Amino acid sequence: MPEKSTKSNKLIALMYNELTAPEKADLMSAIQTDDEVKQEWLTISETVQALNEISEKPSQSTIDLIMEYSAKTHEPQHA
Amino acid sequence: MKNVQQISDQELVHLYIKGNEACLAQLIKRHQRSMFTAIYLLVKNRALAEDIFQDAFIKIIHTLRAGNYNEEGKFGPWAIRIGRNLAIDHIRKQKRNVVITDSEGNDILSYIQIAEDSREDKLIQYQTEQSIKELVKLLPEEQREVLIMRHWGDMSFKEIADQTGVSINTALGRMRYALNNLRKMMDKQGVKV
Repeated sequence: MPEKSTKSNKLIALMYNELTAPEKADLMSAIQTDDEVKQEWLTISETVQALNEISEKPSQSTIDLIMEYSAKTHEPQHA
Repeated sequence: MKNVQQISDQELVHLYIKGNEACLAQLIKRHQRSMFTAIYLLVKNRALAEDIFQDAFIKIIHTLRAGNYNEEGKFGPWAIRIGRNLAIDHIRKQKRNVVITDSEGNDILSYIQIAEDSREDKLIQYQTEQSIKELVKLLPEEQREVLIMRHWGDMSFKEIADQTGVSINTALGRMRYALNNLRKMMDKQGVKV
């Protein structure tokens, strides 16, 4: 795999906190010293931040149906 | 007894199995947003996402009651995995279905989608959230899937790789393409965070 792709993959792993401590330290240092890496890190951060804007939730009627189903099928446990 | 809001997922699961229905309500409340967002972005249809969310929780209820839950402390990712699998099953079935076309070869179901979109256009002012959501829906399926599982499903790249039958590097690569493509579309559409 090309070096640039590997670095990009590592930046993504860093974003999601999936690097080992030494890998993280290396990459943090690269972000601080290499403008290209820093720019890519900022771009990834902004894009991931944009994803946080998306938040959907189910309707109350769907939740009610689940709760009704659960209550209806519940078998009380006997001591 | 502690307030349900202060109880861990693991404890909620145990109490629910013992018959405390309020614990299920709390589990739904905690995980509904990430789980529903993941399903919705996969199937790209709200009504269908509601059905799949409901089916996923019915499956969760059965699994918990049957004593087959063994994901200590990882209820959220486990629940989302169930939702994801049901959504993928649906997408696969849909792909096998015959597409009904009009005289010009257009899928007639697309008219319904366009009508729904137009109605939505009137109802919703496209704000950042809506724009980004629409852009995520445009990503290729493999990229969208990894993005959803990692971002909303809280699954590690290793778990995603295992779940989708690819290497960790492939999962990371798909995520990279997803973020790159999303960024390009955002720039093109002038979507600002």
